[in-house]
Amino acid sequence: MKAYNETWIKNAAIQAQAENWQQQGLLAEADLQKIKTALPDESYQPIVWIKIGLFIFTNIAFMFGSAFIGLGGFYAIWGVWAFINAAAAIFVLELFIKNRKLRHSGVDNALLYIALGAVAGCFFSIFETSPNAVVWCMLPVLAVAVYRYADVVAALALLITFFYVLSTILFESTIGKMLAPFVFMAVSGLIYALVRRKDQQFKFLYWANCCWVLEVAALILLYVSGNYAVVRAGSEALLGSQGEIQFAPLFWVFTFVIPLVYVWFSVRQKDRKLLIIGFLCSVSAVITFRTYHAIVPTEIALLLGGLFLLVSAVLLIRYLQTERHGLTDQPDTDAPRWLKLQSVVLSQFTQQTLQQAPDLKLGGGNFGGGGAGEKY
Amino acid sequence: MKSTHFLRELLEKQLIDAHQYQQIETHERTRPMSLHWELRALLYAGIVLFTSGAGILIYQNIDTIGHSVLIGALTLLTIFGFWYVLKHAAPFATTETAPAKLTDFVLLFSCLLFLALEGYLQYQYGLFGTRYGLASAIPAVLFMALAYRFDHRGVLSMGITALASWVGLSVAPLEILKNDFGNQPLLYTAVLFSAAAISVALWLDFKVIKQHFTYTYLLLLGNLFFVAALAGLFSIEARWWFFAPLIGVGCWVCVRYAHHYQSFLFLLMAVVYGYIGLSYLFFKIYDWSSDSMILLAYLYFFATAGGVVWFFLNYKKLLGIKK
Repeated sequence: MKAYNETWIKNAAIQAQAENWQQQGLLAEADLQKIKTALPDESYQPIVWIKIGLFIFTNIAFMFGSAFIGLGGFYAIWGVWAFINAAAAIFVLELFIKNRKLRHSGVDNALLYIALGAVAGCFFSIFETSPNAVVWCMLPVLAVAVYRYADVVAALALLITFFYVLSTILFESTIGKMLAPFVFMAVSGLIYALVRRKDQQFKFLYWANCCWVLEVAALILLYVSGNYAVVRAGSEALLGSQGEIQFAPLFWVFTFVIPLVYVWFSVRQKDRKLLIIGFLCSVSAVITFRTYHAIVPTEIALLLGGLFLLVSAVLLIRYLQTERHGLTDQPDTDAPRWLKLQSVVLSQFTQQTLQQAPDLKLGGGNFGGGGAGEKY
Repeated sequence: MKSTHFLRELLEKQLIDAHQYQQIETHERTRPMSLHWELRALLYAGIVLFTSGAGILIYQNIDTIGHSVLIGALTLLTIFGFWYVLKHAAPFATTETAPAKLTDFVLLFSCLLFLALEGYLQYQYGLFGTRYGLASAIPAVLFMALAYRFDHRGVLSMGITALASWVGLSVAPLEILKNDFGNQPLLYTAVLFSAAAISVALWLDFKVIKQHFTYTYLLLLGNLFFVAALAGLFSIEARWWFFAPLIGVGCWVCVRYAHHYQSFLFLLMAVVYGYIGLSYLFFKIYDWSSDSMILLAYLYFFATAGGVVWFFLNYKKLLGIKK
């Protein structure tokens, strides 16, 4: 049983794709309008700022409404109180979806998270002494929530819960602790492969957002589980080991090779998110290396790293003026939203640089690692 | 591929013909992956990393030969950057020119380097003596002029930040709350400065000069204005009759702007700051002596937050916005 109208979701996806084709001159404006009337999406999905407002104020309204009723003495048995809250949130949620045709509009997100939180509270009142049991119980609840509401945060919570359960099993024995990185890598790789295959199928369009989030999370988890620094920190915490870890060369290989594999596949499959994650993982590989083998001080590393990025970006822009290896510099979408955020980042940056000079004067020369450099 | 499914669906419903199907299908199969915006993001990251590295490096190993060479090289790089932009940029226009040109990045690079070098000169040689204000005034004037001449929103935001810093204020979003609004003169400065600057921005908007800059002004200074005015409302109780209407006017301006440019970030700002102000006034006139008042407080938040949700669900109808 899915909560939202599946046809509208499909229509919305087709409309978005058709709009993109229209922008690229593959469809006439009249054709696009014809498609929009023939395949309507009647659900209410406001733009992101309104969504944030709806999310905040739904939370406030529910919290105080619930507290108001709770003053009548319902607090007495808080497990029951949590259950009543969960039921109320679900009831209002279903009502809103049905009557106001909301879809991931902020209101329904807020109500779903309140309900899930209340259910967790309910389980907690039953298994007060073992928090792990609560996590076990939340696994099916989250799975149902993802299935019915196709919510991205619930999907992410499901993945994290799953890995938590996996780790509690693994960490029970020493051999499990030692094998943990490999198991985590294998499992996240499997999850990625599975979700990616589903994502390609038309009938999974309802969960397209969830698929996207799960793919990204699985790729990051796969990299993090094999990263040398993470494994070393993990083995220090779990096995009490000091200094060098076992199979160190293997983990160094993972640290550097996995990002390259990501980038290579991204170009072959024309997958943008894989490319961006691959790039970010490469950056963290370099940072990992620097953590243990710092050849140059931070400021020179920043300078050289920045120079490297600048030069490679300029060279790539030049190189991709004509299409090569299925890549191009010609834009195929409008300016993305982050471009508008540049003013915020640059304002922050200017502020810090301006404050830096007088601070240095007053502070008397102690500026190692301070200032703007730390932030970026 | 999903797009193939979509195409087949459109063909079945006879919303496109076989020729269009063929054409789009071929396009989807053979089209290259565009790295346009990713590469621009990479440029931004490179510029920010390089200039922050340079910004730290110039304060080290002072009085060595290598250091003088470094300062000289960075100065030359800055001058070359400004010269390059001047030579290659499009002529001045009052409207928005094409975004994300190469000169935009060179300009940003030069401005950030200029900022680092200027800070260093003040530190090392006390270029402006003890008048630190001048150290902010120069970049403020320079960046504002460059932003308007070369149509650069990023440099504009740097100029606004430097200008605010000159009068002693922090406008960067993460720094706003670090302003010491317990200090009354600073609080009034903040309110008057942001109100005056926003008025100028709105006047320029009205005159159709760089209308796309208004967003940046409102975003950076609007938050400062509301935070300062709310701080005034909370802390200077005797003057509530001054601050409360001021917040009201601010909300009205934001709603008007949101309505006109379909920029609903400002609607959100107006509602959140307006809600905080109104709730404060409500509880100010409220008698706290009775026990049942806590019930009323809960009821107040439940009802008003519910009202805001209702407003957001119907804002298009209520504000008369067509689709």
